[in-house]
Amino acid sequence: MGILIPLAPNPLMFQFESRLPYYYVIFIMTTLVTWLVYHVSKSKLGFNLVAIRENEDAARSLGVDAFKNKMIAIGLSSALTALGGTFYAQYLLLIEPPLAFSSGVSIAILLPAIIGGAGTVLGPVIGSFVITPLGELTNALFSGTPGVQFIVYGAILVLVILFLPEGIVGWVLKRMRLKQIQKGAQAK
Amino acid sequence: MGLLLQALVDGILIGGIYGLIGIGLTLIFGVMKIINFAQGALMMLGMYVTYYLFTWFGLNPYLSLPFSAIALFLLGALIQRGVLDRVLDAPEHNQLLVTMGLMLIIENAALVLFSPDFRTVKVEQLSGVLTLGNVNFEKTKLIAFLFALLLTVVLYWFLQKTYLGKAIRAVSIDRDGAALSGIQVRRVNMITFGIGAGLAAVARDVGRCVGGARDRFVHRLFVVPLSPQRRLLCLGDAGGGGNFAANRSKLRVLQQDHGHFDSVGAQSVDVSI
Repeated sequence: MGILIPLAPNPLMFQFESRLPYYYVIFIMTTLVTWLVYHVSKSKLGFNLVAIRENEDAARSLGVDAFKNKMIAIGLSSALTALGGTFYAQYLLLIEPPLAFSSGVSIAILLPAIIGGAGTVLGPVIGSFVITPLGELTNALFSGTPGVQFIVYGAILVLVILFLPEGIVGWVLKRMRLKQIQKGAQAK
Repeated sequence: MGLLLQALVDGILIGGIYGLIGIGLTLIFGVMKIINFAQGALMMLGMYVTYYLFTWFGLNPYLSLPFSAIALFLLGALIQRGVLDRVLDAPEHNQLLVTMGLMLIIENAALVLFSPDFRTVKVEQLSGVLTLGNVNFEKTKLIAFLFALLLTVVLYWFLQKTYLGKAIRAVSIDRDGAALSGIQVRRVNMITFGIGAGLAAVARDVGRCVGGARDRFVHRLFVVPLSPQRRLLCLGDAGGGGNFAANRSKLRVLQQDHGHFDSVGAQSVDVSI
């Protein structure tokens, strides 16, 4: 089952002999994408998108083309996901349905964003730095019993939504804003 | 013509069980406005209750109905009190994610506790076929259908006539309004989720006898920790009455499961049709 990618260990074919070049490729890709998303968030497009999220009717009444901006957002999101997909395919050299479409994959994509904070630039990055080592750790500790990793994932998902619904980054941002407001109140 | 009629009869009989499963889901959705992703997982737990009652105490699957219903009612009420109650006013995507997290926990806990092996229950005296003209009614399917019908009627009566049923409907129409009229909304929510979970258990308990009818002489129960969609697929496909198309789809389901288990790295599945 699945499609095997023809073996051709050649940097021009995006295939390398060792795992180290892959590391640098994904490192550079992640850094560039984070930089890109940061700049989008500070651009007119980013402000338009926040306006649409907060109140679509109000945004449209101020002349924001909601449909166009949403299309750009979903296109951009798909393009970035495709970057990850291409890397994944060239890294594993195998494309098969469970690898690409199973609910496990959806959850693996979803969890970092939720835990880090959806709607923030750094949220997904920080989220995956938290969740991935945790997953690997539980995998190593309970290597004999498959499923423990997903119990932990599920428990984290439930706990985060119950007690930290805006994610780690969202929570920190909220605290910072609160501090600023308090400072402003004291200054007066 | 005979084949068409047969397919129609099979479809209607199995549709009754789907209906019962659906009622549990809509009851929860109607009152809590939450789509419960964990419904399939609760169904699976109901099946395990039946299985263990059968293997430990030799209890007939039909007689274990109240036990699995009560067990799942309690678990459902606990989930509502402990988790869902806190996200009732949260954004919708968070509610969905919570039930998805619950699904992950329950399914994988079952994977760890019960292992990914197929479980089978064999009740020989319950098998058999009633023939009417040239249409065959499998006894288990017929019982399951009638039971689903009965339960639906009872539930309808409960919702229409009893005080609790009226309270449930009131909360479903307007939560705040119901609270202002003196209805204990939290308690109603808890009971509703419990009923929904219990219904899932019962539907599966009955449906399982159908899903298990793999050959004419032996009843088998398949309890496998799987995702709900695929489990529903199993339920729908595995009930075919011995004709070629059904057997082929059975095989297809088993093949899918086979792939699933291979990817989990667990035991492979015994395919015997």
